[in-house]
Amino acid sequence: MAEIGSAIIATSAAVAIATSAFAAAWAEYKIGTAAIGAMAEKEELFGKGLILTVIPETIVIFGLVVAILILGKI
Amino acid sequence: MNRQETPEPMAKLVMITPESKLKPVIRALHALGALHIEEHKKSETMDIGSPMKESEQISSLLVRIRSLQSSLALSLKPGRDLGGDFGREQKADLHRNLGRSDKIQSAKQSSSQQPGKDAFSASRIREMESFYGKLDKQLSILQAESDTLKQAVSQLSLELKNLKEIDALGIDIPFFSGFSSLSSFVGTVKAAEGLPEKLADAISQVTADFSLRIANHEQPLVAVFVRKDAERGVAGILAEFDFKPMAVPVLGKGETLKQAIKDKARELDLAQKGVKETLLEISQIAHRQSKRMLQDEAVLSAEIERQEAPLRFGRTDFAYVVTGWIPEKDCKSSMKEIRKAAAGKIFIEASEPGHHDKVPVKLHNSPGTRPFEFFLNLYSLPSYGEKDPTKIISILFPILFGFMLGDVGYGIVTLALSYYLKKKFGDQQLFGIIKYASISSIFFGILFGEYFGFEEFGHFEFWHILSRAHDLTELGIIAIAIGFVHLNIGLGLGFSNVLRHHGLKMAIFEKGSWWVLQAGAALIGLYLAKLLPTISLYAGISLILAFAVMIVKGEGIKGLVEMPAIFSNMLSYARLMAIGVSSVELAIVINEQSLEMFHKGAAGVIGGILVLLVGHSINLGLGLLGSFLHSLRLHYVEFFSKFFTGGGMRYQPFGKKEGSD
Repeated sequence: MAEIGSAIIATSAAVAIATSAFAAAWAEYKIGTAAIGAMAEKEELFGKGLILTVIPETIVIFGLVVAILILGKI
Repeated sequence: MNRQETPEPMAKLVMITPESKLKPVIRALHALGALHIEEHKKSETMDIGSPMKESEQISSLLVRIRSLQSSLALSLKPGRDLGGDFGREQKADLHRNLGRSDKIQSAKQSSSQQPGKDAFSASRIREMESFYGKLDKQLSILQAESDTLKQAVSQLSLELKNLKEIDALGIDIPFFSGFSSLSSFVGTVKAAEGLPEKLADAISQVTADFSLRIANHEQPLVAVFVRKDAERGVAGILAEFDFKPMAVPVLGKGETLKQAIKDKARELDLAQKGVKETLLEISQIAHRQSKRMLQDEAVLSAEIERQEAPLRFGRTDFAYVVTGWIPEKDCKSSMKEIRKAAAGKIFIEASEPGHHDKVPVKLHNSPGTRPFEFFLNLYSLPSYGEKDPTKIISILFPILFGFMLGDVGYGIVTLALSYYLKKKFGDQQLFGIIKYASISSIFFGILFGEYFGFEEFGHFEFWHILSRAHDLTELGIIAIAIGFVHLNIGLGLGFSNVLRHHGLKMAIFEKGSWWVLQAGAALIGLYLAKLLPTISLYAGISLILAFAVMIVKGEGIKGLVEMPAIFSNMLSYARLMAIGVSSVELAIVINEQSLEMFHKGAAGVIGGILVLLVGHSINLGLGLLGSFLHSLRLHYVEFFSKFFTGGGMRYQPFGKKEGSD
């Protein structure tokens, strides 16, 4: 039984990181497209576009932290 | 206040000068290369100036020179050895030299402006116009000549080919014409298997009297002779074989085919030589004139800038008004120069920037930290009077970067890369940043005991404080701790910014309140960890309430909504661990894979080396990009949001080339 428990915990950790990674990717896709669009109009916006694009990356970090916390339960 | 910490102090200059002195004043301003001109807007009382009278002439001359340059540069491409290459380096070099001599000259002349020595007299323009007119004409004649010759070459080579093919048929040319009862067909047909038989078969169905010759079996050439009355039928047959008639060359009187071929070949050779010669002549002209053209182009572009300067000035019926910004330290001497140029007929007033003025921003950092201005150029310049964070970024950025890349091997490679790039592409800010970042990576690599992902060599384990591959929890805690320090440095900077502009009370409410919040959270945390008694819980809660009141006073409800941000920001620094670990793990996997292969014979060794090289290159590329972007992001998003306002306007002085500083 303990093994099944570990498996469930490991799977939960995987789900935590996978879903947050998907969320971040989707958000970056949306922002990235818009940023490139804005850059086509005005090249100086590269810096701001870059920042806006990487903002959602924090979501994955949260996912990672949660995953590590979950794994700590094994 | 440390002068290095804020952008260069500026003074506002307002000048009013009569129209008669406009030209010398513009010349003096251009030579100074220090005044950032504020563009005048057209208003009811004041129009904008119009360009000086020669501007149209000069700009058309410029267009002519540039078009000549580009057409000559094209002709030079194959013969780089001629040395007249309008390449980037040479151009930049020349521009630098020109800029210097321009400055020296202007310093010598100061602004006394003897009219005879005026670099831009009408006669100089006329002289240039006639020179480039002639050059243009000469070149277009040469160009036309080479075009005609090229055409002749293609015509002649076609004719020669035809002659040779006919020769291959083995029939002399006089046989193709001049018979009253005989028709001939000469031309190409589609290649096919067993073509001679098929063709003969097909023709024999129309007429029995025919003669057929075929040469060159890849692109077959046929000659068919038939009686005149069968001509129509044979033409139909040939059409089925995709027959394309060829023009039979005409020979001169008494000329044989062999001789004709020889003659044509000689003609072709002559034409080809002619093409070569004209092209060589063009490139020689390019080589001879390239320097002069570059010089003239630079002089004229500077002049056109001066000519069009009045567009940025205000104009009344009799006078021009120039408003601009100049570094405070240059103010006095510049005013003297300008006065001298206008022979005293000018009103100049210098003043401190007012509250509503949009002052241009010029960063001034020491050469060591200057590369890090790159980040502000990419993001936004600090507003005038705001602290310039370049210096602090130059310390913090490499730390974050090194913590993530943290490998001695990778650090050495990127360090070498930065020197290589610098040598190849010149001194660019980005390469300077990579240099400092690599040194920091080497330092952290030593602390983590990582050498291209190896933590041990054989049985010898490298010295380390912390192993990133194994001590994940500790690494995470250190990462968050770095975040805590980083953010609080940001808050400190913010505090001093607000303190300077809005006073102590606002500084405490806007920025100090966050420290209250952190203290409250820490107390509650320690209570939850059962390290402190219950009283600390209440103390913590009351601190958080105090924060709420302070922040609402300082920033309004918006600040309250942002409350969790400081903790999520801190958590965001967990990426320092995440990216570092992913880079280490990848390196370890690469090493293990290749070491396994090393035990499998010679092929394995080669494969292993390949895996090592390719794997580490990819990992280094990813690590470099990831570490760079993420430390950048931590600065832009987490760090800057604590203090940085930005929105400064770049200082672009009149008369100075961009990037020449």
